[in-house]
Amino acid sequence: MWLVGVGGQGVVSAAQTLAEGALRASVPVVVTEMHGMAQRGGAVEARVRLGSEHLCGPTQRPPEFVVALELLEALRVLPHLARYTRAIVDRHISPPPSASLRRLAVPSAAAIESELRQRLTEVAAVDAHAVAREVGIAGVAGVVLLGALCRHAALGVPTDAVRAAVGDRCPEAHRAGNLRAFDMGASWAAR
Amino acid sequence: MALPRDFCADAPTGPWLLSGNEAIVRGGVEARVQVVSGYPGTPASEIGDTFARIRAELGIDFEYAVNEKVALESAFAAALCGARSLCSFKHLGLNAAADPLSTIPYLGVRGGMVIVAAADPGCQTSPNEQDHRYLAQMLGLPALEPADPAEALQLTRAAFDLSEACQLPVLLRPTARLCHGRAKVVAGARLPTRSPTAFVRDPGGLLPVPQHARAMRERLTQRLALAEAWWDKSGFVRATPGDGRIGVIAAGVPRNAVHLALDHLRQTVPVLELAALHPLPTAALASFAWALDEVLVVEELSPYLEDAVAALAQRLGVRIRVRGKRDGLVPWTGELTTEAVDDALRSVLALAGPALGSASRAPGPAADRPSLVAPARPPVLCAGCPHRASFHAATAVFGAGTVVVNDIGCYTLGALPPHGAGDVLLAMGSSIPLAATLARTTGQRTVAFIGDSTFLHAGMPGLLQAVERADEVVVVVLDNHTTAMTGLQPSAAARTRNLLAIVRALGVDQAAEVDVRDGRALTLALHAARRQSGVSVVIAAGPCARLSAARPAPAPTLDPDRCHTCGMREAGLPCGLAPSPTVQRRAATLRTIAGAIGADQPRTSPCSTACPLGICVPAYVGAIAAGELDRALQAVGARAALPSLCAHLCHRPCEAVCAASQGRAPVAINALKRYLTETGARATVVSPAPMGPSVAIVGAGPAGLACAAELVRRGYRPALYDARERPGGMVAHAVPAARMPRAVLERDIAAVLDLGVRFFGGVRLGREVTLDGLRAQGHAAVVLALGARLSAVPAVHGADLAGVDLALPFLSAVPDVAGQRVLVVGGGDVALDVARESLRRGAATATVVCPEPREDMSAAPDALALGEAEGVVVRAGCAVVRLEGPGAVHRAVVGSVVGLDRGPPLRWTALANETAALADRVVFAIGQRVDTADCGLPQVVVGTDGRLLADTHGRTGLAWLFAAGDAVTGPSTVTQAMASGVRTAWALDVALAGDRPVDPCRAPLPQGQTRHRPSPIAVLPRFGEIDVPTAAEAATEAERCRLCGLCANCTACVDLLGCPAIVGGEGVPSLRGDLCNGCGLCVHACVNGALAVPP
Repeated sequence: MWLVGVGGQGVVSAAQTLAEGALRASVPVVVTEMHGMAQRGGAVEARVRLGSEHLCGPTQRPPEFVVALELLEALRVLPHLARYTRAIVDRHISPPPSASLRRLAVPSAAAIESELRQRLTEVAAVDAHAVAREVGIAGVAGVVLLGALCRHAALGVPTDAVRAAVGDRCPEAHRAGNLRAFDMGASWAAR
Repeated sequence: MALPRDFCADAPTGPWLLSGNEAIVRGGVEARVQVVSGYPGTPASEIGDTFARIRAELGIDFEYAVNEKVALESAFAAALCGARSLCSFKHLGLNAAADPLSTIPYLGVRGGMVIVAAADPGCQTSPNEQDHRYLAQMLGLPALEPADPAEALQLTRAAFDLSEACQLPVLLRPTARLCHGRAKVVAGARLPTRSPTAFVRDPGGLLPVPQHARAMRERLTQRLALAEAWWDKSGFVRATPGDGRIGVIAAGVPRNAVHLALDHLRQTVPVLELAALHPLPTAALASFAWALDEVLVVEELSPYLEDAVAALAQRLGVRIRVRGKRDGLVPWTGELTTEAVDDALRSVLALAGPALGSASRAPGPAADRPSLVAPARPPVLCAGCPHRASFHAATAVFGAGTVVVNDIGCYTLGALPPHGAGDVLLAMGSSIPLAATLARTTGQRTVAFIGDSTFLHAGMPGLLQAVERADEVVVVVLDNHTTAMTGLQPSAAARTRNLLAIVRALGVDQAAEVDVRDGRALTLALHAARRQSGVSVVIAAGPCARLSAARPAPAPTLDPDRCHTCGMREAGLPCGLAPSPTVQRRAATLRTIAGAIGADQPRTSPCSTACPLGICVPAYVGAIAAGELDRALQAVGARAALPSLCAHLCHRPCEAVCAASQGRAPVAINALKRYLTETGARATVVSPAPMGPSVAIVGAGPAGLACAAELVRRGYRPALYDARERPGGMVAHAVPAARMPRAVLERDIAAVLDLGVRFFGGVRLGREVTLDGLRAQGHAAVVLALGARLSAVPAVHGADLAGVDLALPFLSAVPDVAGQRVLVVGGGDVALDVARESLRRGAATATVVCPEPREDMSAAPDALALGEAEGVVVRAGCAVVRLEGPGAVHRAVVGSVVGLDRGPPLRWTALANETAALADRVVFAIGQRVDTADCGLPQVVVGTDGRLLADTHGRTGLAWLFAAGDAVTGPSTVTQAMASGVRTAWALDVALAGDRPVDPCRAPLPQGQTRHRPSPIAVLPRFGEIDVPTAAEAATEAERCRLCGLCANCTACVDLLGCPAIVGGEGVPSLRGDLCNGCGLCVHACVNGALAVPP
């Protein structure tokens, strides 16, 4: 699956957490990350391959899942997805400064969501940032979406394994909050 | 990212999910590496960072070196003493280290030394994708390349043993995908502790002077042979048997794609995987190739292996066809995609069937849906980055013409919009020597931007050289106390914090260090550096926004009352002109230097407020300063249909109130307008195809012409009627050409007529046409712009003598005054015109006599001063009692005025000291009246003093009849007459529009003052009445303008700063509190002073 978002949102962290979960469950897993400029507000992408241990170069093959922590990035990656790609997205838009500078139109969240639903079979839209605010920890949006992702039986990684990875990877003080965020993501998607 | 808790364990453990970089570190840990030195560089940075985190626990000597050369030398020295050492950097770092690296193989190592140089195929974060496998070949180093993190760990471990076996450093070459990719890794046991280190003398082996070097070279060959012998051990070369006589040789991460593709294609062909790149495993290659007809070599970047295999086969006489890059099957550039490998295999194996890349895509957007595009998201400087302040100030100070060389670091992003600070970029530390020599070659002062880490890494020698050559270069050192782009590693500058001392010690006298949060000090320091000659260094210091763990300062507050507003908009006169970034940058800088805008600052610049036409003066003066003539013309043309009239004849109320004056001369606003109008260019005027009603305008002077132009804008079809044959009124017929050059006047009039305005000359109201007649012709309304074209008749004895003239007929057709002594009665502009024109035409003398005191004369003070300089004699406070002379006037009796009734009209009441003055011609310029005789005007329109009765917007007592200009106000100024015409056009539009919405009035209400007021500052301006400044003079003069007042179309914070925390849109921008760290740059850059630091 592909995880996309803006630098600093926790895309890479979410990918690693998912992969940790897979490792715990003895599911073969490989992660590749697009690093470097991400720290400066650029787009980030991480790819997690389950069932394989081959660290491959870039591929054009569409993923089974896409997890988007930001809607413009979901839109950006849409042409590379297949109709069967299941999307789990956060209802959050972060317009880049280039939009202001060059007076570019920024599509609305509603328009993007509608576009995704039009072109993909399955789209789960979660207010992950709202959950993060409720839980009181910035940066758990990725964890929320992981929860939503794990709901899919087709994923191939037991939810408990991912949940345990979430718990282990965060600081002690934030553990309860993170797990709550994960659970809320899972239950949201179940609606 | 969190490391596994037992990452440092001595015992075997895992499995973990490790990145390639982390696996390399664990490999070093297991091998008991003792000394690690690195320099941050994507994709290798995490190697150093991980060692930094574990060094204390494991007792590893780790350092972030100042540069890669030092890192390599540091690691080598440790290895020389028998310690196991490792150095890591990105591929470009290898180049920096190449000098010592080239001789190290001659000296050899004693303890194992591993050099990790991470490659970047596809240039994800590098300016090039060099293939440094050749470097290993060139220098004689064993080289290894892993394909996944698990192998990276194994190879790193083994590399230390290999290194000790052959006494050569081993080059480990991971690529970015491996460095950052994660996969399962199992950790092995750590080796037992190593013995302490010691330096053993070995002159023949450690001093590569020529006599020893040759022997060392021979030893190198033997050492490499030892390395090759290692390749038989597992892990370095792996052969997978298969069917057929076509095989695959692969190296690096693409090995995984080969397996994936073969699985997909259900093929089992022989595969040889090489983790050993150098020396080439010739034995394994030979035996592999012997059994094949054809082999596909899969590797990234250059055909390093491919060529080596082909050469080997040739040497051994093995007949095999080597396929790959040379025959176009495998791409040369970038990362190899899985699909590319699949395609190459299918081609070589001649397989049909669906390609890997033909997977079904989501359907494209439906035709009836709007196409949504996500705006590009390039990397930008973080919100709150101190470098943003540096680039903002530097761009404003140095301007677009300066050549700028940038360097490698976060601040490279300053080369992108909105700052565009970077014409050239090369390598670490290149900015200074490049800028220095570019300065020498171009003869211009240049600017180099360099970060603190980069400066210490490689910038100092360049600076020393520039000092030696006294090059004209400004070096801006952007000190954010860290190495930010690669992950906030500490920089030597942060540890020592004495950059200023270093710069001075290198010989730079003109060096300053400024805190970037003090925008004013930063701007002034850069200004100073720009003006200096030789090398100047400005250290712009400010901590990285990501460094501080403290709570960021709160976001500024935005006052909507000051943002996107100016007095003109509130007055109904929005100019709709967006200032260019250059102008906004100047305005922002002026604000920064001037300090906070006080609450008493006027919203609208005083000059624009004083302008009768409501021209936004900062808009066009600012544009001239920025060299944007088109915008300047548009700003003037937005309000003035006949700009040359303003440029030559305006009474310049703007200059009287110019804030830049302060006791000195005001900005020569009027002269700048002349500069614009004389360029010959016209602002593009868009006028709608006139479809509306026809309107008659009687009088084609300034008021009539301005009214006509405005009516066309509003969609009407005006027709101008004038008693004279040609349009222009007083301006064309009674103002001397010496004051109003005819060429530009004709051009402006023609421009108005070209809008589609019809002109009928030789038509006098009451004679050729009547008001009723005009209405009968179909005109929906009539505007009377008759002017005040009759000279007042004097009531002086002797005024009927020959040689006594009235001013306006005199000026319309100047008689022969050669040699005559001319006496002009009157104290206004017309009197001055007569006097000066007489002198120009050869009069012997010209004297102006007026009863009012000099300070009350209504003539323009500068015209007065110029006239006197030309020889006009001014006798203010004097009055003509009578004129004498038989037949023609010969003498005037003039007395001093001791009693004055200011009326109006002005009258002297008592005279004293009457004396006679000789005069051959006397011209009376004592006022003008409206000529309403025989016009057939309705009584309701005509006032008792002959002036027409109308309100400020030209409305009379009759709904269809309007009056504008001097005919209503009496003699006024040209600018006010034109403003009157514009207002009248609006009132007419309102009257005829019915329900249709009407555009607001486009000229302000008239202000109290209608005539010149002597201003001590306006006397003898720098530019004479019709002087046209040169482009350089205009730019210099325009730069004096302080761009006071607010701007309603300002987009400075969005367009100049590019800060992610400022989101633009329609109207007022918004600030993102979640991103803002309160750096305060927008506060002092705000042109309108609308942003403030919250209390």
